[in-house]
Amino acid sequence: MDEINLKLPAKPEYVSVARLTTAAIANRLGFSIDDIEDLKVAVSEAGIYLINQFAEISFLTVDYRIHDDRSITAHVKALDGKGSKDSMEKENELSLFIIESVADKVTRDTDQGIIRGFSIYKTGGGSLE
Amino acid sequence: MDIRQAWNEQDNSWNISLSGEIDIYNAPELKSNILDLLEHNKGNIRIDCADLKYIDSTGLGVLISALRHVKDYNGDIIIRNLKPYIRKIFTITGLDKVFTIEVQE
Repeated sequence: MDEINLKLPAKPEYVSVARLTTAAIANRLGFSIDDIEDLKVAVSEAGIYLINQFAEISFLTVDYRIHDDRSITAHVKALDGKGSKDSMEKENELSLFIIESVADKVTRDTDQGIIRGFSIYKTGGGSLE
Repeated sequence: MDIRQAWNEQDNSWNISLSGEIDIYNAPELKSNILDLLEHNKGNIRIDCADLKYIDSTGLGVLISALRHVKDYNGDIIIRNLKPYIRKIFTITGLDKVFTIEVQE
């Protein structure tokens, strides 16, 4: 199993970096265009959710685990989120809905009822070119 | 993201073309842009998404917020030329029922 780790400032301008990285990894594994988009969207929405969730947050990590069957689990985590932004509840519901819809399997990492991360599993890998 | 807009006097609507990616970073710019337009002229909004490559939940939130504004004066938002994957996001979120989506034949 290969692993790729990404640590990003939890700022809106860096969410696109997670998107591009996700697309590059899924593309390398031979995912179809739709499956690449699904994983890219799920990882991006997970990052958005965590940025919107916390009043204070410095970093997001995205740890990609590439399984032997060429499926991917992307663990998106808030490293140090504190406080909450209640005003973003509706936006966060939309993010959750999208994540659940496009991923094959999603596990939420919660702490005292607060989501601090997501494990997003997606299949779609073919053979390496 | 690039936004182009023009007021169409004949059908009392704003024609907006969106291109590139709309995400959590630039969605606030889209929001203020649309609100500025509606301050100038209250009409329907026709959004051409032929060159739109990506939109996230934040961008969708901006469109929902804009729809609330135009519904206040019985206006509508018409979205056209969605790429298949973006159309899928509208469908899974149920927003294809909220907005008027024009499908090209």
